[in-house]
Amino acid sequence: MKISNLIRSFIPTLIVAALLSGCGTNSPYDSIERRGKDLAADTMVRNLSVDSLYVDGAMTSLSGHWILRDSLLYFFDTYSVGLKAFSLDGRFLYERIKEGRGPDEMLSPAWNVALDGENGNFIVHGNENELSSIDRHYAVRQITQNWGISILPEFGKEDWANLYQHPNPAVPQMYEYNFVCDRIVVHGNRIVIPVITEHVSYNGYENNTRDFWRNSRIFISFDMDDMQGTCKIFGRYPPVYRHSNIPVFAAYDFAVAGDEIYVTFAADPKIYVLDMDGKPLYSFGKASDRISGRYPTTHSFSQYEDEYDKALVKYGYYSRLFVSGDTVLRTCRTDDGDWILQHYINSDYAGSFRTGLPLEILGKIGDCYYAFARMDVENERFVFVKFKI
Amino acid sequence: MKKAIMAAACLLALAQGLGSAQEMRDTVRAAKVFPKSMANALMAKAARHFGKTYAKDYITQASFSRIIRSKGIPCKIYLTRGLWLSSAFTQNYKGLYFDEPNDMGRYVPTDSFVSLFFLPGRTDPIDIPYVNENNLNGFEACLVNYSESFPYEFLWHKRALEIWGPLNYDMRKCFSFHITEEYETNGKKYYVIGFETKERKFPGKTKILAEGEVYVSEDGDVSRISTRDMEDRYSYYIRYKSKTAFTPITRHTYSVCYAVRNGFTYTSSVSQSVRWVEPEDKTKSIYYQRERNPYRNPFKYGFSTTTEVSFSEPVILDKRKLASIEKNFNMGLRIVWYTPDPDLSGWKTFADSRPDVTEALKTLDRPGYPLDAQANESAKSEWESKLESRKTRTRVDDSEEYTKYYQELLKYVRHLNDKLYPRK
Repeated sequence: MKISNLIRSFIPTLIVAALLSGCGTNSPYDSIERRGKDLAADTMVRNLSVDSLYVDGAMTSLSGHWILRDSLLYFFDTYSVGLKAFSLDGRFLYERIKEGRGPDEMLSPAWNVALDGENGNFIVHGNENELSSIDRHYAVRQITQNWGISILPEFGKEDWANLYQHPNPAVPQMYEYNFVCDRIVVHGNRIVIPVITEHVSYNGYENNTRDFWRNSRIFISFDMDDMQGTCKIFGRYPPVYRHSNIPVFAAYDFAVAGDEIYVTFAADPKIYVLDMDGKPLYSFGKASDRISGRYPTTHSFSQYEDEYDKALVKYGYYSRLFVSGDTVLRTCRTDDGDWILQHYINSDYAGSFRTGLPLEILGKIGDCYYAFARMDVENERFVFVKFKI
Repeated sequence: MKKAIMAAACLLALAQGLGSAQEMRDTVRAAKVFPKSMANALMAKAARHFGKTYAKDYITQASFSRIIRSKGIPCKIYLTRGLWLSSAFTQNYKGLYFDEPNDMGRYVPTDSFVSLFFLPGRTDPIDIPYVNENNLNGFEACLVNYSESFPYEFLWHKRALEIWGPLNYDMRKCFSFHITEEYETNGKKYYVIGFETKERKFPGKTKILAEGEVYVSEDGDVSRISTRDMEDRYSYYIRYKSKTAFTPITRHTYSVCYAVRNGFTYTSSVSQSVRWVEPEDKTKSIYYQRERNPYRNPFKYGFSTTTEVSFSEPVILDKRKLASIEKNFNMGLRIVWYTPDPDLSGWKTFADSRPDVTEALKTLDRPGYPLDAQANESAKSEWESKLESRKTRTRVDDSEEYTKYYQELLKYVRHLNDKLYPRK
């Protein structure tokens, strides 16, 4: 047999193999169980009855993070060190933590904050990747000056040069905090931080995109007492991101309940449940019929930057996640610009509510949910809502 | 023709009940019409003269003041004086080219005072100097995002005006001119020449959108150029983000004054006044501002700013001496406001000649926040943030080394200042 005929005979096989590899045969999500049934029709969208609550923001930057703890609202300003406590009827109560290096002081404001459910401590992620804990007496303990350096302190100049030339998604130093996700979570002594690669030749915009969506990780976690020894990068983007390059809609949100991580992705109607090592366990979630899921592709970083804002106004997507007990709530933006809240009981879809605004649900007290709704810039105040389901 | 005009003006003056000869002369002056050709010729002469006499390689004392007001009430004041090294400006008219990367000279303060920021009606100062939320767009971004820092592009516009404006002989055909006034001082005639950009295709073909006045003597000495709502390549958002102009939400005036010494033309002062004006169309995705609003809700708070610098008698230095000084001046364009132990009594003396500064200092001297405490608080805070920023950029804590370097530089500059400008 001539060599050319031999090659030709293998071509169909090669094509099939290529197609199969492009269809995600190696995705950890491919064979997981799909759970949940519909307890309500998707077409039934009820209005959510809410009570509004106003909190004065005059002495804040109007930008920051809210934590609900012990029936108080705590505000961590993005542009000012410290926290401010408010009652649930909007009254300012006190402020703590000044700027400095003393025992009740910090050097930089919070980029994000998580509540340690076990001891009530606040875990603060500062703007230099520092992590600090604030206990119930407002004593500050620095966990690390820079978690990026602490997890791999021996990473030297040559290692960086090598990584620059040969990007490797399995190396933690490829990653940085994922600002778009805008959340950190504490689980026991472990902190889970969303990450994204920071590499000129390995990203979701124009370089190595195929490999990026297949192999880059989305979380880093470590024990706060032994960062280097317990550091793990885990979690992947789901298959929906392999069909076309859509970094504009690659945001994700997550919540930890029990020993499971719930993750929702902007372009994917499914909610994935992972174990604490990132292994997908099952998925559930109903596609909203008001979100088409058809997004324009992006071919370069400059195109991403130019089109990002417009695209988020033009298309619907899945947004924020809240999990408490057997209740899962997911905020969604519809194609026509409306906001709805999907309600799940365990994995079962229980209906949707029209909220009109992107709610950031902070917690539940009794049978009432509390959510941050928006900032009222003109009146320099924050608007919260309280609702029941 | 002239006689006819004068006669008509006299009749008009009489009709209006203007009786005195002086008043009649003033009216005649106001009514005088100057041919366009005269305006063009005068402007060409002034531009050629300006380019030839534009001074270089000098050091001068500089005094900056910036006052932020809310509905006319002072909220914050910056005062700083120091040495300005002008060697980086380019000179003769054929070579009036643009210096990359925006090298406007060097400045190091010998003393500064910066107050805290008080909104009218509030007892405590605003302690958040800037907000920059990237996820906000359009009109909301204008309302929420702000920065109370000194706008460093304040002096860049001067270079844009000199290079692309009517003071550059090679650019004169881009403008239309008309003489609006003629007056006499000390036996010399002066003219006020109005100008306007002819082709308004900004930011593409047109380098600068400007209308204003140039004040020139009959000899061609330029004493002043003033503009209103000028846009140039330093109108940042226009330059880097769009091929078309954005909707402005500020109105401003910008003036540069010149003085002639020993046949050279020096900059004697630069001033800018900005006020925020709420646009009718709030649906645009980006708006243009002359400078960042100093706090949020600029329309609700009715913010306005006045920023000025005056330069005193220049000292010419030879190139070699200048090069060695410039090496020591290595502070870059950014104006550092921190100086240890601000001389508040010196600034109060300075305020005696500046009613606007006196008013601002009086308003900002608040119960619980006396001015001397404010001075130290601001200086400390600004310096700490500079050190932290340096630490971030270099990834090592060399703040001690940097502090030592800055203290040495300050000592050097103060010594140079005292030598060049001995106190009388």
